[in-house]
Amino acid sequence: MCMAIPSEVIAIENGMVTVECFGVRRQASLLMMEEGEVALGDYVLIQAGGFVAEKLDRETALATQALMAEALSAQAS
Amino acid sequence: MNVLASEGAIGARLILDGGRISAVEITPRPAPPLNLLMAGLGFREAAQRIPTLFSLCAMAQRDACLGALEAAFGISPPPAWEASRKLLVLAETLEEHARHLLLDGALLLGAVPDAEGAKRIRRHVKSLEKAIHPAPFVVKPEAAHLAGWLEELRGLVLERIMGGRDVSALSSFASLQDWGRGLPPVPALVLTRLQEHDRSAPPPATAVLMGGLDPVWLADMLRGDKLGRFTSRPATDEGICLETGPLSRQCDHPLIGAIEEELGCGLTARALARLIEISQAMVAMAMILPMLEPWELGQGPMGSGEGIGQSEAARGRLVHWVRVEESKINSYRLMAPTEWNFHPEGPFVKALLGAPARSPEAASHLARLQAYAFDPCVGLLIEVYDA
Repeated sequence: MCMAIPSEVIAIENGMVTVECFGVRRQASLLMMEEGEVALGDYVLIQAGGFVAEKLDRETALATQALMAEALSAQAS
Repeated sequence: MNVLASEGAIGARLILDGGRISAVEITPRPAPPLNLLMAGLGFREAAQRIPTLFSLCAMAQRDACLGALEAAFGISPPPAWEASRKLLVLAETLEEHARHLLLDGALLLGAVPDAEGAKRIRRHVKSLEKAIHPAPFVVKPEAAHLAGWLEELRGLVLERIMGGRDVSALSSFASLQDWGRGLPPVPALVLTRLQEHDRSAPPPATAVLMGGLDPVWLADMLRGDKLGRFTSRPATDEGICLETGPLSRQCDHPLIGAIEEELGCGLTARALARLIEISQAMVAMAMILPMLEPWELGQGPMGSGEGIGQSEAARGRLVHWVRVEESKINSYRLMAPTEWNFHPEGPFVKALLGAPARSPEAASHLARLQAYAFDPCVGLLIEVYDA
């Protein structure tokens, strides 16, 4: 369903970022972002295909993560 | 917590036997916890939360959500409010189709993507929401600015995608071939490769396409779907798995008929349906712009009820169902187009069954091509086994 789960950028190298969310690390391409638009510590959304699609402000990202974590945990239990 | 699953990846297990794909097993993705995320929200909060929950089709999700809420509260949207929603959905559809061609299609088919073109169209489309809505639930259009915005978008589309000539005016396969010779490198290569593939592995002549769905039937199915069986594997009462998306919306276009006659109902037809929608979206937006007028939502509606909302997203039909009690959401369900197209007995599976594939790598690539044709946004976890 393409849920938008914000991930934190923990590394940037050669047009790729490593992001982390809920303890899971992944890589994604910065092809759809402007040069310098994404920095370490930023929160981003990853789209299918492995592209960084959007940068979110920290407050919104953390609030969304908390909301998702609560709902996903409740669903799993 | 499985992040990939939460973001919507589907499992596809392919079995190879005698150089053909003999079986396709689909693992549906888990339903999102939408009921939990929406419970207790009022009209305004729900309409603002829903687009933040989805990384794709956010405007279509909001449109379907608002449609369901309005039905539940028994209100009709004012024309300006409805027009602004339709405009944003059309722009979003155009942007997603453009990105799938210039970026995803290029990478899948071995071309250098036109990332700059995809980015420019995306940036331009993203600027529309603020140009219409200076604040949530406020429509304040500036006619001259919006007319210029649309003209700039048209220029970008003609330059980056259409080679200066609008595809929707074409009606024969010969005219398509002629048009293709004037395209920019990425669209030209993608369309050429898709046609080559359709010729080497002819697809079926027809598809079972979604037309209008009875909203009463849909509401009944969603209301009773407490365990998520219908929303994870939707089919008609007769067990028919329908295809939804650009091809189902554009099947009456003469160019689609001409392609189906020449190449069958396959990769090319579905890719061209998206291109036709890009063109038609610009025409539709031009017709909607004069309908935008200043408008502001007063107090959010109050009451109790149940409603269904439908919106045509880039990928196909979205359906939202909601029950409201004392002005707060009590129950919420969503049916996404992906579940129709990637049903275990649906169009994606039928397109792969029996297809020639000489190696696991070829089978995997074929699955990615078909996924691209049906829904380029879907995350697919492919496994291939020899029988």
